[in-house]
Amino acid sequence: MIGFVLVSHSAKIAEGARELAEQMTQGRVAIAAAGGIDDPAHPIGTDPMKIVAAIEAVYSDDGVIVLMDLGSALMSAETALEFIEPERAERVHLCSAPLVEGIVAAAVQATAGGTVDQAMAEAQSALEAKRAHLNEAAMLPPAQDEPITSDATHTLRVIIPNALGLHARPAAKLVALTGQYQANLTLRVGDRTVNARSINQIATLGARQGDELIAAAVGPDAVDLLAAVQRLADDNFGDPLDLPAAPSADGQIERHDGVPDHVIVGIGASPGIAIGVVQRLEDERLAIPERNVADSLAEAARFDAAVATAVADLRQLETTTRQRIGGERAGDQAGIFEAHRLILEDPELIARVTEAITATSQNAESIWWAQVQALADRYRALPDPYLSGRAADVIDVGKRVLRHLLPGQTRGLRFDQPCILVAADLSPSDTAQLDSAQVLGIITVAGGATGHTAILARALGIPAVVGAGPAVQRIEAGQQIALDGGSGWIWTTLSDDERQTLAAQRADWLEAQQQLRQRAHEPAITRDGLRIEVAANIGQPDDARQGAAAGAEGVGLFRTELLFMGRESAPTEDEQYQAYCEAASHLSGGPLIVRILDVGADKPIDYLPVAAEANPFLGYRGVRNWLDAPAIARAQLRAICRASAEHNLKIMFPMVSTIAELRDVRERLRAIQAELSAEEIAHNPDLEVGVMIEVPAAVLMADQLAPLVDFFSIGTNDLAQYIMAADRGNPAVNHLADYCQPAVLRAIRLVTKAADDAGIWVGMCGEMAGDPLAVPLLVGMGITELSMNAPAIPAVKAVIRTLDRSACQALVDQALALESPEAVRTLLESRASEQISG
Amino acid sequence: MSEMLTKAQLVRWLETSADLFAAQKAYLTELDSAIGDADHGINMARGFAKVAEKLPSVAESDIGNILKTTGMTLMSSVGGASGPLYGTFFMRAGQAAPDQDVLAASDLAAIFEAGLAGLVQRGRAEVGDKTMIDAWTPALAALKASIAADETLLEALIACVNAAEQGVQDSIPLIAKKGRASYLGERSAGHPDPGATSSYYLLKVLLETVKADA
Ligand SMILES: Nc1ncnc2c1ncn2[C@@H]1O[C@H](COP(=O)(O)OP(=O)(O)OP(=O)(O)O)[C@@H](O)[C@H]1O
Ligand SMILES: [Mg+2]
Repeated sequence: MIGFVLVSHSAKIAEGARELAEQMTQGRVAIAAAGGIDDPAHPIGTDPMKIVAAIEAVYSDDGVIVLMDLGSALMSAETALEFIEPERAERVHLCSAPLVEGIVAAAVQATAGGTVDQAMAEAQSALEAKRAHLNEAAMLPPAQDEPITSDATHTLRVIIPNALGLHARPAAKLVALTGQYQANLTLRVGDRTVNARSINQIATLGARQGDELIAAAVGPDAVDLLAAVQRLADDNFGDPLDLPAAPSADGQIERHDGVPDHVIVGIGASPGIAIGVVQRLEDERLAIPERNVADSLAEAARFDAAVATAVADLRQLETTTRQRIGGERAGDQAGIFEAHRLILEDPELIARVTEAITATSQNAESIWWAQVQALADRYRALPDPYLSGRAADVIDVGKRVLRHLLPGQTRGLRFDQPCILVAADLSPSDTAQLDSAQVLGIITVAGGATGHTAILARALGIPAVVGAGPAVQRIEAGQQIALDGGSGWIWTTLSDDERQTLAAQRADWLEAQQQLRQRAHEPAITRDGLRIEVAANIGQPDDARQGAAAGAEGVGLFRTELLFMGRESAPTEDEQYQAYCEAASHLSGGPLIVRILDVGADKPIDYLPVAAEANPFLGYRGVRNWLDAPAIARAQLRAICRASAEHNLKIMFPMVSTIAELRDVRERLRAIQAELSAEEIAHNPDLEVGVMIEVPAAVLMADQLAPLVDFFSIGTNDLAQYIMAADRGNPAVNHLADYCQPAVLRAIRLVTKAADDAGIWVGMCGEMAGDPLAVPLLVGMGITELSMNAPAIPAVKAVIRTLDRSACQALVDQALALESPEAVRTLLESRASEQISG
Repeated sequence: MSEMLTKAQLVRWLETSADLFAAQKAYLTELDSAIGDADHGINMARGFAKVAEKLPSVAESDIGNILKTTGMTLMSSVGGASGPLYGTFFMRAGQAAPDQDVLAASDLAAIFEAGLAGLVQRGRAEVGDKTMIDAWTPALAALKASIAADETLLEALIACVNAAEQGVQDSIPLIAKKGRASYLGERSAGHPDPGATSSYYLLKVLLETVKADA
């Protein structure tokens, strides 16, 4: 007869289950318990050797069935089989049935003379009776092919009344409407049927005026839903009745008095003339990594989170655009972001991506991008030009989600040829990365003259028109257009006359720019004889060459993160040494300030893992984690010190917020210098050490920090965000994180005062340093080194040459007394218009 | 520096491991309490204490036998999943050991490879399931790469231990797919895997044993 073995972590369970079965079999079946382990203090566990003994005890050639509880019980049982003679082991069967139900059912079967197979089958189905009793079958999911519900289908036929058919706005209305009902609604035009909860599917139906639309609803409130659809159709799907052409949200060109038909008027944000081919943000070449993920569920969750963040961004953009722009334009501009949000809230699209992630275990960004392109292609293929133009929006939205999936990696927009860039909006970081050689001009749908895009475009010398409204989304990629960043005019086509006039104006403008650039190689000296060092911010060694070509006298900030990113292990000391030497070699003896690695949870590096943080911005980053990564710190310090032997290097520490941290890093540096001396390796023992002032705590402690260092460098980007407690990436509050905020100016003043008292110099390496408008204030406060993105250098040097220190100091006093950034800007603008002409 | 791992070093490795697991018993148990049944430290300490008891009786036999005895002892004394797992690991390692009193780096890689194959066969876990496999797999790969690059035994072990440590780090965000922790589902993320940690300890002790003689 068959024998049985019961394996449990608990000796009591194994023994109890045995007793239970024996009640039924009354000694006619051999059952052995192998539970627990021989450790009186910790008796819970499984022991393969005990199982071997139990099997041997009940073995007969009729076979043995082993029932186990969980986890190691299975592995221990499998292991046990290896210690049993192979011919016997063949007759031992491990059974996945539940322990208690299984042993009772199988043992009873054995007493009835059943075979091993029969007993195993009995054990396997032992849960059936229990399930039936508890009526659990009802809880099982319905079989696949069953209809979701047996409710009747109600249908409605309407002829599409509105001139433009089911374009984006009617589609959005249908989606919103369906969302208010429980019933499921499908829409059919011709032979295509789509889900009415999916804006993309409705819009890509390509339904036109006069087409028959069949709406079919199933569900408890199906009739009401269809009645509501009828009402919407009666209301011309929300479109004005007399609409002859496209509504402006879909790209109609707005009319202004005295403006030719082919000209769109936006807000002039950065002076200059540009003539060129249109490229959209979507035409940017993207390298989307493709890889397999270990945990596709986590990947799907990451995707959901990115979509949720993008939706939140769009909501914010929508409300702030409405509030801050105001007036008629606001509705149109905000409408763009609403349309983008609806695309993202399409359940079909999201479900397709999530399913594909779990089905293929591919990374979210590659799947998302493929789906976005497929969707954009579907829009593009539509015959209706208004709808096919939506492809641009789809790509825009796709990019927005990608930015959240690939934080920090979507840097530097790259295009195949020089172009005029058209985008719904440009993030400050996108704008800051633009290369004026590639981007001749910028046009955005949203935004104002004081927006970030505008400020940065000016610094970069790229002509820009912002807030041009949705009409510009209709300009086709590849079309030749022109813009005047002074007047805000955009010529969507060019007559020969216009082309000639504009080309001449552009030539004049370029000439002025060229003069600026030539003079950029001369030092920047104020009228009263103070030399301000103008330097470049760089991310890799070769940037130093470009900086020097633009007129930089040194590098005020070498962000070393790029050296560390996108690789599997940290760059070695030698690699870093090479990189620092190479950067310095482009500077003809000018200073190179190397900032040590500043990474945090927002831009993690594989080999320096920082656990996910709720708030990376306030987290473990900069010196905070660098200090805890001794190997990385050591290699970087040694590389910097070694490079300082032959080159004019300085070292700078980010995110310092306490004196203790500064002492700690200085001590680290001292130890490394001692080590190098002991090894007789050349280095500069007087290497200048600075701290980056970006945390408010460092501002307030500046008087105590100053005596311990050789210089300060103010990082205005983070400093403004920390002082104002406002994230630049959050459109609802990013206007607060403005370096013209009086609070930020006061902080800078505190820093320069403390430095002055201690006799050390102060530089600045944030965006503010490259803002020609702000430069007089900085000079007035005593900052003597300005480090910026290379393209801003000529304009900043030109401004410096117009300045007089005592006038600047007076300006500072005035500015510090003002109460808002707007007032500060007005003051600076009026000063600028007095000083510079042209 | 010796380029071979001697039998004496091997024995010392196992003895020192017993000391280490006794010392780290509370810590490993604490790790296991976060995502398991709070017994991994107890299990490892018990198993290796038994191994240390057994070692003197086999210290004079060959390396294969020492490893196999270690495996058998762990198998019947650990109590948890790590019993059959480490048991199988050392048994298979012992079977793969050459008939010599020393192990070249390549021998070490070969016996670890056999051991890891046993682990995988026994636990049916894959890399990324948040188990000890997540420490052993990269560790073995690093060991082999280092040997292929003609590095010394010590260098190879350093690479191996670093990779194991990284494997433990990398196990933190994972959601467990095997073992007790898998019952926790997503809540298992955010903690290192206890078994991966104990595997890393074993390798670290081996490195230190070799280093001490270097
Ligand atoms: N199937 C498996 N494959 C590989 N490793 C596993 C597997 N299951 C568990 N482990 C490893 O075992 C470790 C837990 O060992 P431990 O000694 O605590 O056993 P346990 O999980 O408590 O066993 P039991 O199943 O008896 O409860 C886990 O951290 C994991 O590394
Ligand atoms: Mg456990």
